[in-house]
Order: sequence, then structure tokens, then C-alpha cells
Amino acid sequence: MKRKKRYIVLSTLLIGILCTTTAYTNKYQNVVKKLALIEKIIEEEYIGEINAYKLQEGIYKGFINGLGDTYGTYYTNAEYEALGEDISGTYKGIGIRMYLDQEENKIIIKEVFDNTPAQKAGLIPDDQIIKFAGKSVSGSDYNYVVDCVANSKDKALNLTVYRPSEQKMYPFQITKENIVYPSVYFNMVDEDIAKIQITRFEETTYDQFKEALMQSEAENAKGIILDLRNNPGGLLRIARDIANALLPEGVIVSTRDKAGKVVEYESDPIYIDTPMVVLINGNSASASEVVAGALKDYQRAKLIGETSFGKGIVQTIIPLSDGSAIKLTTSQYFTPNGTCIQDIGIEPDVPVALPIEKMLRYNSLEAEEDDQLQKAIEVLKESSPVVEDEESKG
Amino acid sequence: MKQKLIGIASVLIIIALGLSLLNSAASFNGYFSLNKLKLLNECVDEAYLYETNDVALEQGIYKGFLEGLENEDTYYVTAEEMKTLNDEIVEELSVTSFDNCDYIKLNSVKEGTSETLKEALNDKKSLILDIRNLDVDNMEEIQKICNLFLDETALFRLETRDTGMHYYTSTDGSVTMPIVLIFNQYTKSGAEALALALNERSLSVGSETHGDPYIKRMISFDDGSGMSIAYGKLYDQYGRELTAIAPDVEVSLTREELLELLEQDEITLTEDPYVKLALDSVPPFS
Repeated sequence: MKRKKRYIVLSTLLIGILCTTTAYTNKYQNVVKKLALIEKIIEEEYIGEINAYKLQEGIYKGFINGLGDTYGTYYTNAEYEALGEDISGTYKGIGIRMYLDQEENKIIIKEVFDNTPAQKAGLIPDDQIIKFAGKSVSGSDYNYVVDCVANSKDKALNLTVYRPSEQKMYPFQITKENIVYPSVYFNMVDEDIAKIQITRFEETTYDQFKEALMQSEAENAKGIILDLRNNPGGLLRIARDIANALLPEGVIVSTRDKAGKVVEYESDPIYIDTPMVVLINGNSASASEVVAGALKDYQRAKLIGETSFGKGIVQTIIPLSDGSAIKLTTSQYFTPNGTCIQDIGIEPDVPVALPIEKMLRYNSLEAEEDDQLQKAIEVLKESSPVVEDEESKG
Repeated sequence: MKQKLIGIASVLIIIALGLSLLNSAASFNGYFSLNKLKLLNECVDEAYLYETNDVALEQGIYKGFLEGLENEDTYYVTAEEMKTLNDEIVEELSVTSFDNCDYIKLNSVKEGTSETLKEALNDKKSLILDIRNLDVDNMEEIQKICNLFLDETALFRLETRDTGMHYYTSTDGSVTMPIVLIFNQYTKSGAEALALALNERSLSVGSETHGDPYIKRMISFDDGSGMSIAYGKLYDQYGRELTAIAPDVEVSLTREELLELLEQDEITLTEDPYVKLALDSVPPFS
């Protein structure tokens, strides 16, 4: 009797195990079957090269693409590794910033950073890249050249530049190194007004921003123009740190995830109260909008320029144990006033557009030609925006 | 008794394990890990802000799998897309007569197109044959079209997994009028083989062809979806893989000309810069 009982218990247990494993696999049963069918067709008929690794990774990429999340991505091991470099603010490179002169169809070196291989080799701003890796290049090859400088496996880059000031050509061989690229640029637009431009929110951006604030203090700036135009965003955390440095106590931004969990990010009471205006345009997105939105809601600064991009959602990168990773949209964020700006953007207090002709050569625009910058100077000089807003309220 | 019990138990365990293994492995070859897909699914369920669509996710898997081949002629087609594909009906060709020549636009090539083309030909006039935006997979029909225009010669080769290398040659053709061929960057696979074969006996104008050596065929699945597979590879008569073909005379447009064209909703045949160039290039009929 005892044995029979034991036998029944044991078999129930086993059937139980069997059933659960079946249920677990059933969800994917059809998928596996269909993939097997497709695989059979490939093996029998496909005439091109087959890379088994890419096929497999394709499945995961495709699955994430199937979400329809514009910002969702699957990263293979190699891609995830490269991404780490991308958001850290340090890159392998030679230390130059290039831009495409669309009118002249030329690749021009905009900037040569201090203590980099490019500077040591003797490249200077305004040099035109006319030959790269043994090939003649023009503006049409801009993406190719940028990609090679950033991603080519070669340690040493061969390039020839034309220097307009001397009307001479110079060949260079420059070895790549790890370089911290600036994402913050500081300059005094006149005696009293400093301009701080943030081009991206990266790991090193906050430190660079603090340095710029100290510089503006050292220069005795009475007003600051924060230029967030064409800043696509980046790390939310860094945007919060920057907003914190500029805002009194209060909520900077709050996020809400799928489960409805709300997280509020508070600013501490310490802040810099120098009068300020912010430049934004249609390419100011995400983290840029967090900063601009908070400064606007607290009436800490007037926004000048064009309505921002309107990205009010936050992505998270989830690393997987095998070295790959996925990026998903995981929460919405809200400005201090509680608005979600997704697909809406932030409207400027003072709208100023830039004509298309000037947009095309944005990177080589002189300060005097920059209508938005000129407006920013004007508004800043009129008076302190904070005081003015409080008066109009009263 | 105890031993017997253990025996029964182990048999049951083996059966259970065997069944569950069968379940999970199916007949799939290991290009893919069920565990990883499950993990991805869990991450998405937990963290993704918006609702997911199981159908779209499953389609994504098949699309991604085939995209992993990185071949533009091999791709997954959803059931919905299959329907619209089947609805597409294009007129094979259209003829326009000019003073000194006939202009024929070849829109698609399927079984019997060579016959239709033969009937449309007027051997008292020069011919402009427009194969822009033409993508052909039916190589038998391309061969028959070549037969119309060419003497006996080697044309091209086609390699498939099924039959190995197949050599296409033309028989003696009867049509001897001068030909101006128009092609562009959307002239693709079989149409490029046609351009290659006719190139020696015609003047070509336009822009470089696509450079796609693969020919494809559609496969339908029971659930209404399907896939396109690159099952054949084209080589020229010397055995070199088919590459992009450059025209004798290139159509080059200035930025202003291009903008002007883009602004117009519909351009007439004689406004079309490709056709204009072809008309200017037509050799006198002799």
C-alpha cells in the first residue's frame, strides 16, 4: 500500500514536470517550427554566403524591432562594447572636429583639440581634408572620412590637407589615441556675456560644464547664454546634474515607468543665479529638453529660438549576461509643471527662426550672422529675465 | 520491490526528459537559443513602456532572421504584404512612336513577354529600349528577348544550388535595327544581364545599374506569409560575377535641373532627361 502511494506521488510529480516544460515551450513552438522551415529553405536553395552568427543575432534584432519602438535596439556583444565608448565621452581618434561645408562641398577641420595627436602633428583649424588613406576626397565623402577617423582599425591615419592661408598642401600621418572630446564650449560673446554651448550630454559633460561656469565667473560675466541647439540629448543623469547647478530647490524632472512608479529628481538649494537665457531649436532633444524645460518652468531663463524636438521618453540599456544588450523605451518624463513633451516639444519664449541658407552652414556661422544668438544677447541685456517675469506676474 | 520502483521511476524520468527535449529542440539547427528569446521577452514585459504586439514581435523574428543573411533579395514577407504583392498588376510594356524611332518601355518581364515585345517591334525604325527600374528573375524569358536581337553568342551564366552552373546562349536573331538602351541604378539582376548582353550591339545611356548578381523567387507558407530567396547567381559570359554596368553616355543633372524636375508632379516623356538624351543619341536608321 505504502509503495503504491509512493508510486502515485512520483508519477504525478513527473507528469507535472512534463506538463510545465511543455507549456513553457509551447509559446515558442510555432516560432521554432517556422524558423526551422525557413532554415531548411535557406540550406537547400540560398546561393549567397551564410554567416550563422549573423543569422542568429538577426532573430534577436528582429524581435526587438518588432516592438515598433523607434529608439529600441538590440546590441550584439561587439556593438555593445562600442556603445560603451560612445557614451563615455572618450573615443579613439586623432582629436579634431570636422564639418561639411555644403556650399563648397569640402571637408573642413573646425577645431583641433589641445594635447591630441592632431595638434602635435600640426593640424590647424580651417585646414581642408583633400586626401584620405591615399584617396582624393571631397564633401561627398564626408561620412566616409568621419567613419574612418572614428572606427577604422588602422592605428595610423594618412591624410593630406590644403591650408588656404598658405595656399599649400601638407601630408600627415597621425596615430590614433584615446581622446576626451569636449561636449561643452565656452566663449565670451562680448565683455559681459558668456556663451556656454553643450553639444551632447556625455559622461564627461558635467565636469566640463562646471569648468565653463568657473570660467564665466573668472571673466566676470553678468549673463550666460546656454546654447542647446542641435543637442540630441544623451545621459539623463548628466542633464539633471547640470540643471541642479542652475536651479534652486525643487523638482527638476520626474519619470514614470510602465508600472506607474514615479521618481522625482530634486535640485538642491545651491545654485548659480547669474541671469541666463537658453537657445533651443528643432534638433534640441531629450536631455536638452529636460534642462530647457526645467529652466523654463522655474522661469530661471527665457528660451529663445525654435520649438524643440519633443522627445519626452527615456530609454534604458539593459545588459544581458552573454555580453549583448538591449535598449528599450522604459519611462516618460515630465517637466516640473507636469507636462510630457513627447511629440510636442518645448515652445520658446522668444521665437526666432534661422533662414535655411544659414542652417546649411550652421557650423561656420559667424556670431554676427547668428540671428538667434543676437536675439539672446538682446534679451539678456534688456534686464534680468527672472526679475522681469516676477514683475509681470504681480 | 524497491529496485523495481527505482526502475519504473527512471524509465518515467527518461521519457519525460526525452519528450521535453523533443519539444524544445524541434528540428531546428541551433542558429538560435530559445532561452535567450525568452529572456528578451521577459525584459520587454517588465521594462518596455508601451504595449507589445505578439504578431509584430513574431514577424520581427522572421524578418530579422532573414536580414541576418544581408542579402537584399532574401527577405520575409508578411501575409498582408503578400496580398498587396499579388494585387500588383503592371502592363508589361508600352510603345511610343517618334519620327525616327520607336520608344519601348519595358515594365516587367514574365513568361510570354518576349512574344509581346516581338509583336511591338517595328524593323523599319530605330529602337529606344527603356529598362529603367526593371527587376527581372525570369532568365528564360531574358534569353528569349536576347534571341530577338542577337546572333548566336554566349550570353550569361546562372548558378543555382539545384542545378549548378547553367550557360545561356542566344540563337540567331532577326531584328537588326539600331538600339539605344536606357538603364539606371534601379535596373536590377536579370535586367542587368539583359543590359550586359545587349550592350555590344547598342548604345547605352543613363546611369550605372544596381549591380545585383542574385535572382530570387517567392515562396508562400501555409499561414499566408512568405519569403523571397536569392536562389541563383548571375555571371557574365566569361564567368565573372555580374557587377554594375556603366552606360556609354551618362545622364548628369545639375542640382538646379534636378530640383526643377522634382518640383513637377508628372513629367512627360520628352521632358524626361534620360529619354531626351536617348532621342538625341539615336543613330540614323540604315
